[in-house]
Amino acid sequence: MALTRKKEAPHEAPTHRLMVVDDSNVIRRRIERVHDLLGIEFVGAARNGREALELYEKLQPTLVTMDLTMPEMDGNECVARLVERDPNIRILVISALADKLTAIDAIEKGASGFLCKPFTDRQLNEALRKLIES
Amino acid sequence: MKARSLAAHPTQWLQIVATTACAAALTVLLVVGMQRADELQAASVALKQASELTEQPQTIRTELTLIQRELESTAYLGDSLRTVAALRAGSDQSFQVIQNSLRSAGLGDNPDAAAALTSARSRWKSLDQELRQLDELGSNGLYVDTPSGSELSATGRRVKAAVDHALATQTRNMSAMSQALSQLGALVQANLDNSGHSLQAVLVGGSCVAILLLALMLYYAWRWRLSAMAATAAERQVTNILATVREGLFLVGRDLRIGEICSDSVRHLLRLESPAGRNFRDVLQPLVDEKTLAAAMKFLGLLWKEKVHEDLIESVNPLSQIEASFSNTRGGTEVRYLAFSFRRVRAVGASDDTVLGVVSDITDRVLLARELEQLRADSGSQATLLLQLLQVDRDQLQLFISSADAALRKSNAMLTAPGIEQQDLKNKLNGVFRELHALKGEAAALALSSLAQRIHAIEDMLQSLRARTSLSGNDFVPVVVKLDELINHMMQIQTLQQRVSTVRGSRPAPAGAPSTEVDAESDSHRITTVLGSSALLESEQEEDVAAEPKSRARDPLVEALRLLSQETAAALARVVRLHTTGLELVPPYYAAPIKAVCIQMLRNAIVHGIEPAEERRRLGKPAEGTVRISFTEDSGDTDTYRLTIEDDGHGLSYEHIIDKALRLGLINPSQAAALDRASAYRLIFLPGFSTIEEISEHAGRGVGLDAVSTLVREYGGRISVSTATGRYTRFRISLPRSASIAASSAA
Repeated sequence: MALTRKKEAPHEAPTHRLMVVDDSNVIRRRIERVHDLLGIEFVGAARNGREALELYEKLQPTLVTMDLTMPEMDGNECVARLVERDPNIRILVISALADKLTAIDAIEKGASGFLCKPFTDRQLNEALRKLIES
Repeated sequence: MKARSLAAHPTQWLQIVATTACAAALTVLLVVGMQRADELQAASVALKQASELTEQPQTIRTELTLIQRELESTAYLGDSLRTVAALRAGSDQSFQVIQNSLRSAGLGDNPDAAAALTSARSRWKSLDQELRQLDELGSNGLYVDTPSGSELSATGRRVKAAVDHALATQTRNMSAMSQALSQLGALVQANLDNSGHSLQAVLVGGSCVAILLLALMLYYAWRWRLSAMAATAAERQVTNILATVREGLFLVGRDLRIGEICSDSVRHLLRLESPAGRNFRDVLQPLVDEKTLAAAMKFLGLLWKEKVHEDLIESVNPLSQIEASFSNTRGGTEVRYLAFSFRRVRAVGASDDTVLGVVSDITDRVLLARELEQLRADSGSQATLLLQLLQVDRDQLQLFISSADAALRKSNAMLTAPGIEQQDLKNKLNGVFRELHALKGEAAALALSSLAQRIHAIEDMLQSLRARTSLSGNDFVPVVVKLDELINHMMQIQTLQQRVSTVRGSRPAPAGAPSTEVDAESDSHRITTVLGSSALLESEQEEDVAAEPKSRARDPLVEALRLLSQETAAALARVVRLHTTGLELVPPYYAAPIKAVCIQMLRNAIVHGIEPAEERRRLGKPAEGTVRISFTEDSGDTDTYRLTIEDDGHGLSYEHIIDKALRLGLINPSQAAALDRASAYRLIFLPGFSTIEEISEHAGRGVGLDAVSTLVREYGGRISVSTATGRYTRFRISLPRSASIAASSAA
């Protein structure tokens, strides 16, 4: 089951709609928590690539954070499919440090940034900020 | 881009245009000048001929007169007649020359000149006619001999008549012809003067243009020299920079060839004789493993993609830190840490397929960071470990410790077992790896991150050994050393665990007993003896210890908190006294959340609230800080419990909070200006406020204030803070008494 949640805009209408794709509950919660800081509207979370693609149609996110190693459909394939649907979508791929090759693959397929696991809230914040500002 | 390159050198274009214009002007002037000179020459020829012609009739007259006299004296006429004939031919020729010259001198179309010439010519023609008749009569048979001497023959008489007639004609026409010729001469002279003037003007103009051209060329030569000097200076500067800069700078083309120009450090850092023209892949190959090499090549490929944002992908740079081994002169190997960074060169022109590579030696930085990390790990490890252990279920911890003990023994036994064949060594390696990997999983599951990190480090070592094709016994030495350290750490855990279980094992005070203020110091003696380290508060202990019987039963939470306060304070060089009140009254369904809240808040109070002893003394406060934790049933409202955590540290700083909230982007500057103190203090409960720095600095040290407030809200409670700068910070948490629903759902 996919989790979706709507949040009212805090002060001004946020222009970035964030979807989190991660099979870990903990990581999903952490990312949801940080989004408030940047005026990003969190629109939903998916647990794997297949779910993310389904949700994409409904949520129309502009930002996606994506774990690269997930069941069902791996992150890289999901990145490629999402970029195919929206070439302007900004995807932050999240993966272990030792897995840079996979991350490079994802960027080749159209992801915009990379965040190395494990990350601190500040690093996450910074990565999302860069993603928005790019 | 083309337009820009044209626009980039407007002076060059100006130079070319000006020079060409000058040269063209000079050519035109030269041609005109030459024309003028030709005209001048032709005019002067015409003038000369005309003046000669003016003389001609007089000469002819003289000759004719001579002939007359010769006839009278019956002398020989042949010579004179030939002279006349020559003069005739000469005059005819002169007229022809004059006509041609006039045309050349540009007077061909001048009607006055033509009229004068025609007039002169017609006059001459009539004389010429006579002279021709004379010529036809010839010089023979002019005289007949008579007895009285020679006298004119009939022919002679005709000749005489012709001569007389010619002289008459000459007299009649010649002045008119002279006049016409003078007129013509005057015209030609005027033309000559004109041509002379215009030639002069052309020459002056030509000289001016030539001077201008010379000046232009000198100017541009000067300019060129200046820019050449600037270019030389720039080149020298670039050379100086490249020779001096400590980073290795080089360019890599799309074909991975290293460019001609690179800084001297490249040679030194990469131990290369001549990097220029080498393939970057070949240069990199001996420095990194195959996977990194493949990743690096892919990464470089990414840089050439148009859509990729360089700042964003810098984080995937697989060469941001590599460990490279070089053989040194003494035959050994030297390990250096190198950092590469790459940036696409977006230059104007054809050289856009370049990436600027920067390589630097970060060995010092890496080693320093490791040392610091080690230092921090060592100083914080006791407190961290204790905090971790406190949060682990006792039975689970016990189980883990015994299984870890077994795993480590087994690993140790495997490593020290005999066997030096490749297969034996491989088996050892794989066996130890399996054991440790399983242990790491268990440690991580129990959130014993310090232990998991240590095991992870050993795993990394084993992993790199696994990648080797051949192994030797010596390769295992560092692993054994690390394993030893790990075993020591495990023993430390065991010791602490025993202390924790002593604390946990003691029985709680009987329910309903009057709330007693528990003095943290009273037990510190016992704790420090267990630890075997120096006690911080030794001076005041004796009395307390004597006053309080050691056997006195303690609430396990109170014990845990006291232990935590001791350890945390010791790690941070602070002196802290903990007072707890009423914690034994905590109802069972609140035990878990209140324990979590107290651990976090106590840590916060010591880490962020209480100042170091020295600072406190300077501020005129007691050197020893105090943290009070009390749990009460609210006297005003019987439906709530109240937990208060108060420290006498430096209080919350309004400025610091605003500053941090701005930095984190929680509020914007205009909101910041509008915030009053009370609202500002509420910011600390916002998600992300309190945790960010802590997690990055002390990974795995638990949760922050936002987690506390989340927890409190989950139980239907409220949290508030009051503070006085420099004096205290007090957190009040109220929890509903009828929390059965919340408790059961949270359990």
